[in-house]
Amino acid sequence: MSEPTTLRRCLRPAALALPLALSFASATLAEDFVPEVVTTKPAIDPGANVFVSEQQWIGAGSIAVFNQETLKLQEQLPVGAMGLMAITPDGKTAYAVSSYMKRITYGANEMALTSYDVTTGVIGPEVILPPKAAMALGYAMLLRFSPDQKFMLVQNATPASSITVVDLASGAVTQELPTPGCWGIYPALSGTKFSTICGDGTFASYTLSEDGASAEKTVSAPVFDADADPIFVQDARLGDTLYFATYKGKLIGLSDAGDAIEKVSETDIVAGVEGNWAPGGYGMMAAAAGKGALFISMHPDAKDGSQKTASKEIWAVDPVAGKVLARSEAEGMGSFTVTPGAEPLLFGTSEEGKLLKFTVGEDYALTKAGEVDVVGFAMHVAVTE
Amino acid sequence: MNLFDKITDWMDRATEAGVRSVAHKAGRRSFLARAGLGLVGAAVLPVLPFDRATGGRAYAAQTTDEYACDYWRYCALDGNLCNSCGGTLTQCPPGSEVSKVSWVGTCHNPSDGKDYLVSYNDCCGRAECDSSPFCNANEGERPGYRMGLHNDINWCMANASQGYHCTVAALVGIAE
Repeated sequence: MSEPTTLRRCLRPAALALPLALSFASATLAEDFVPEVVTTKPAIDPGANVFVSEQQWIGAGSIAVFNQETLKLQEQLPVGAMGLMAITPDGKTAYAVSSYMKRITYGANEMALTSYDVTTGVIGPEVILPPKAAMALGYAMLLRFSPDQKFMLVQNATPASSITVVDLASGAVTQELPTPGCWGIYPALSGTKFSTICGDGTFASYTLSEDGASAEKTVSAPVFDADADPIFVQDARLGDTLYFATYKGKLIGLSDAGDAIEKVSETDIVAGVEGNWAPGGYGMMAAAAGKGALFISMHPDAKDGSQKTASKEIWAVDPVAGKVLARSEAEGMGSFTVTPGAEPLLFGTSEEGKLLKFTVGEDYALTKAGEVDVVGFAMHVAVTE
Repeated sequence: MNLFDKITDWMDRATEAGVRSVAHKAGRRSFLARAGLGLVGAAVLPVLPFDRATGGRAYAAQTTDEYACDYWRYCALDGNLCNSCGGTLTQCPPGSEVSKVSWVGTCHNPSDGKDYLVSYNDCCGRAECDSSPFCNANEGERPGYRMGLHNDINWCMANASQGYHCTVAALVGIAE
């Protein structure tokens, strides 16, 4: 005899008694009782949010929306497999690129760019994409807006690299832009220009035409050496300068103000530091715009192959001077982001499946201020305020 | 142009139709043989696939237990081990599809002291095999701008069925 069957038999007397009890209760309490009505909450609570891409490769994932102050889960926006996330600067609209395989793990793969109203959780509109979008871990630079937010730029890999350009107003795919040997999308400050990292150490920059159907290209001189000291693909912008960290702990500053990318600075944040420290992780660097500093995930005893090691410490760095401003213990974080204000908060995800919150002191030191569980491959964390 | 520039260059010149055409006409074995020839041929070039002047290896390889993540062939393997999912070191589990494209690692075999080129093919069209060990080794791994060395992406991308199942590690050349 199975346990469920036994359980059902034990519960049978209770089940018989329940209507009698309810009948009695309704007779005596009917006048006081107000039945509850189940509805859908119309909107999330007000306040600033932190967005976590809870990516899944085995099926559907989510964009999880947490209140910054309380870390309370506000909603989950449904995403398909291997989803990538982008949030509008006003924090009101989320986008995801997803894979929807006909039979979940096999069959034709329909790829969609889906938008979500963050306040209400309403889905749509949606654009069906050429089925070439990169099915990659949740790297932020694989799905980004053009600077004027007219176009969504989707990194493709077949494995040949290209970028699908989507007109967000019309929902039309305007072109597939070949970007051979290059990877990632780095929008300029204005217009329709963006850049991409190329394996020969150069950056290619593209300016889209007004209708998004064509683009003009420029190529920079080499600004890094992908063999000797590759750069991480995670960028961090402070003003006119885009910063990239190298595997060995250098910070390269690039200006994207001109036609082509130009290197404007190179500093070494680990020079003279004991312990063979190096950057590591996935979304492993973020700018604190309000404080003019970068925060970088660092680990000791760095070796070839340790570049995805999560943080032992997070360092605050003045990238212009190449000076380490503070070193804070923050173990196990692979990705994080920082709010842009004068009193920033740092939100990051850990290998243990937590979303962690830190305050940033006047001295740039981090103080843990809360944590909450997240699920999936939570490697992209975003804030807009 | 070094070995991995060649791989990347080849990949980026190949249109999706081209990749599929190669796969359809020649099959996976020929595809790998072609890649393997390129790898072996390029291995005589003076530029190593990745810089080892930075210090020691992150990967403490052993040669006896192929079911553990520190087995020497897995030095750049990011994924689930197919030999724990019904397959073997070089065979996808029954019914799953071998990925038509793959990334490449260069792993040192402590037994014979040689560096081998390892093709990490994903196996496709089944659910992620989460009951196997999940390994994440990254020796010589590079971001997507060196796509042939990149392991944070689904290499089932060129297959008809694209669900990621697990990863095998096949020796396709010697790097010295």
